[in-house]
Amino acid sequence: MRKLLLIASTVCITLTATAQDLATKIPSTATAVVTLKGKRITDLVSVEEFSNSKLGEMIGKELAKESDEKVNNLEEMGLALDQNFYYFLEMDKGVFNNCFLIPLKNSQGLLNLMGNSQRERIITENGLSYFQDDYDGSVVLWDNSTLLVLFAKDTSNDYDFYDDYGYNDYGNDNYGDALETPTPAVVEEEVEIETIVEEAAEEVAIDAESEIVEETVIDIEEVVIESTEPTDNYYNDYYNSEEYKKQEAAREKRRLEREAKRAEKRKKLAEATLQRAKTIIAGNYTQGNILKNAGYVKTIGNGQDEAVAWVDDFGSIYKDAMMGSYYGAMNPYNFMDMDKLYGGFSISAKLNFEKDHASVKTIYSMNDELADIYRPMYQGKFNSNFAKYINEDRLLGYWSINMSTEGLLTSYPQLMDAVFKTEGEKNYGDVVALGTQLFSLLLDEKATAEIVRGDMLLVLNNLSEREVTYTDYEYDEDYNYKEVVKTKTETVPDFLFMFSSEQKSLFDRLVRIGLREKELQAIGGIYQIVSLPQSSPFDIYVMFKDNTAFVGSSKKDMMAISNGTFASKLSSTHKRNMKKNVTSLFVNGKKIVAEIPVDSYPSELRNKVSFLTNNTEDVYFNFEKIKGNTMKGEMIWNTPEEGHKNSFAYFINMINRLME
Amino acid sequence: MLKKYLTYSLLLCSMLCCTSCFEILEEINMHKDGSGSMLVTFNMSKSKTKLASIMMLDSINGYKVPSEDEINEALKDVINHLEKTEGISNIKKTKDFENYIFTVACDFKNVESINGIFKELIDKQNRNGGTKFTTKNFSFNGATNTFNRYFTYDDSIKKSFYHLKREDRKVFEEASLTAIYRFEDPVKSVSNQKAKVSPNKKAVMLKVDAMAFIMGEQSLANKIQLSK
Repeated sequence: MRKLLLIASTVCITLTATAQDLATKIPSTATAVVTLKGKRITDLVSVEEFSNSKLGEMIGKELAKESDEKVNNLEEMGLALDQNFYYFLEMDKGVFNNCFLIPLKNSQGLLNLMGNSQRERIITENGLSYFQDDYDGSVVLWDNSTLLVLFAKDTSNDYDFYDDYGYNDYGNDNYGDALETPTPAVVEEEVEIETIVEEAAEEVAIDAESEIVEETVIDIEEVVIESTEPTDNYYNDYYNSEEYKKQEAAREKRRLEREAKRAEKRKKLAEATLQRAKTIIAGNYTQGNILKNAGYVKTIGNGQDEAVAWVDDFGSIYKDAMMGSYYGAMNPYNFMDMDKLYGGFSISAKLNFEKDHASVKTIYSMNDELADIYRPMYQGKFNSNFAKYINEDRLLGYWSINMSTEGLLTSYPQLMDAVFKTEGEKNYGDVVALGTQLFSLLLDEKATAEIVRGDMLLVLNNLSEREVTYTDYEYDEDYNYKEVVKTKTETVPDFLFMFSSEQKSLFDRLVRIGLREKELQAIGGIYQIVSLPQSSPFDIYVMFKDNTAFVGSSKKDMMAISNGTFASKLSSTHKRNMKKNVTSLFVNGKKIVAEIPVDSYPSELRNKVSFLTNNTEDVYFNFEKIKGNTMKGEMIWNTPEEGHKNSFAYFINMINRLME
Repeated sequence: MLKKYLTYSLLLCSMLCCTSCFEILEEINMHKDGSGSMLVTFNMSKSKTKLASIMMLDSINGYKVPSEDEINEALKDVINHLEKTEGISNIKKTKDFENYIFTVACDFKNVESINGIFKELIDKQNRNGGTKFTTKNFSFNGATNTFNRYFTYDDSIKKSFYHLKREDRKVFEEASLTAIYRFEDPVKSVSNQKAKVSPNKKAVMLKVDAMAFIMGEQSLANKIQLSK
């Protein structure tokens, strides 16, 4: 019996919790949803801890200022910070509804934040309170447990803007009818002016003396000014004519009609927005709420993230936005099949604060056709030799790219062919297809891929000191000065850039030309570029070895690579990241912060360098190859465990320290 | 793609570590009759590695980076302006894109001619910015044998500085302005306490830190009394 009661009460609590969650107020048709999980965030850093932080105190001060000290911290705002906060976007026939759903403990905090004039505008009906902006119709509506803010934008007929504001109106009138008589006279005057100007200009051309030129120019100006007087009268007559007054009255009538039309449109949108806000807060949808949407539910998963963003079918958002935003020929939907690019394209992103790292994971899903086109571009083969030329002990960071030049060159024309329509009134499909075919015929994709295969790696190693010259002045005792060349040391990282190539013969030929033109200098198997400007922060060396082209700034490293004596050391994690991802970025935060000379920091940070060194860890960014029709990206920011109870607390602590 | 990949990576490296500063040198040689010559030098060679990196970009921190051609055009505009200014002659310019040093030199009939160079610009600034900068920067009174360098500090300098992003303000931290004035008659006294008079009494040097100048703590203003 006790067990039965326990189960029953658990079910009740779960149901209550679910019912309270504001996700139930989001329609299943929402196109994008952002969820901020208050409970998880406040478990990481409590509201009290946050309020006592420098950032929290700053927010508290601002709140106190805004509310005449009725609200002094986040807690007093009346928000239920331990519940989920939501933003969602829904679209209906070109109307974009942007809605924020905020859980409340009570509405008093909210009222305390409002000024008197704002409070006077509050309308209360059926347990709901709200006010609405007169101009844009946005609604702020709340009950005891939920605050809803809704902004609506009607983009369905944005191109009516020109009509709304009468930009085309002046084209409707026939100006020629207004006044006919003076026209021939004006023409005669114009002819006269032209003749005089031409004559004067001829005189100018004949006489080259500058003074005479000046006088002549003045003459011309005078003639022009005198001759324009009858033209002014013509315009005055025109503006005083009965015909003009009639046209002006008609224009004014049309303007008032347009204004009434605009006001009517705004009113309708405002009414619809208010009605929608009431529907949302009630949450009774015939098609169910967002928890019935399989795509959203799958994205939310087991709910272990601090924040989740989900965008469903990017194509439909793009289409709704574009259809209304561009008019006529400018609208890409007229000649491009944007559905091919964005149709079925969805994005989800998850933010996580773990004990020792924070991460943002993104998943892009695309339609099958696009995935088939993109896949060959990302089918790069990473040169495992690259790893032989990295020493992790000296590593500041790297950036690898693992793409296929051949795949890129073959897929790109296919993408163009797919995107440009061959049907409809405006179509460039055949022209584009012709261009892409010519491109493919002229370019030998395989041969191009032999020069640059598509896999490359940039490695930054230890910071090294380099002497650079600069010009200064030395003064004698009478303050006569002479320029002197002085030297100073600057700290720059050594870099090594590698890319795979099968065209050694091309490299050799370039080197021979470089040596002959004295642009290069041979130094024991490597070549130094000698024509770099003095101000270059690096010396640059190049070489080719084992189907790899090298460009580097460290003579020592380049020589060691050439001699086969380079001492390599690289963890399997880094090797795997470079190999399996389309692009991989690694920043050795601690080492960089520790090695940058203190003088190079902004003055306000110089006394915090030791804190920064102890509290900066590695950052990774990886973007995976296409699997099925999805691509995954991940950014990981490692954080130290010592001194910080979790990675969210770490960021609050860092802000605290940097604000000191 | 390859070029962009490399450019941005290398730029990041050099921006991380290289410092930036500049020096402006104003040098005037005065004759007894009030005529003379002037040389203005803009020396950024201490920042040349950073500048060389920045020049690879189209814009940085939201500011457009001028190309060499655009800098040449700007210099040409300066020369054109000088040529049109009454009393200014023998105009010369030098440009060194290796070391980022640029100079403009000219002769003047009297110091009023130098005032004429900047008058229009300062008037425009005062009109648009509501500032009160004096349009008279120099004067020379032959009767009393007095040379004056005028400068009225305006709070707008400080305000403009604080409008800059924190990172951009760093440029001024080690920058300086140096003024050297040479005369045929010996110098009797100088009003600016920071100014130094040479042992032969024929030259005055005043070096001002850019930050102190911006904050209004130091000024270029100086009244130099020469012996008759």
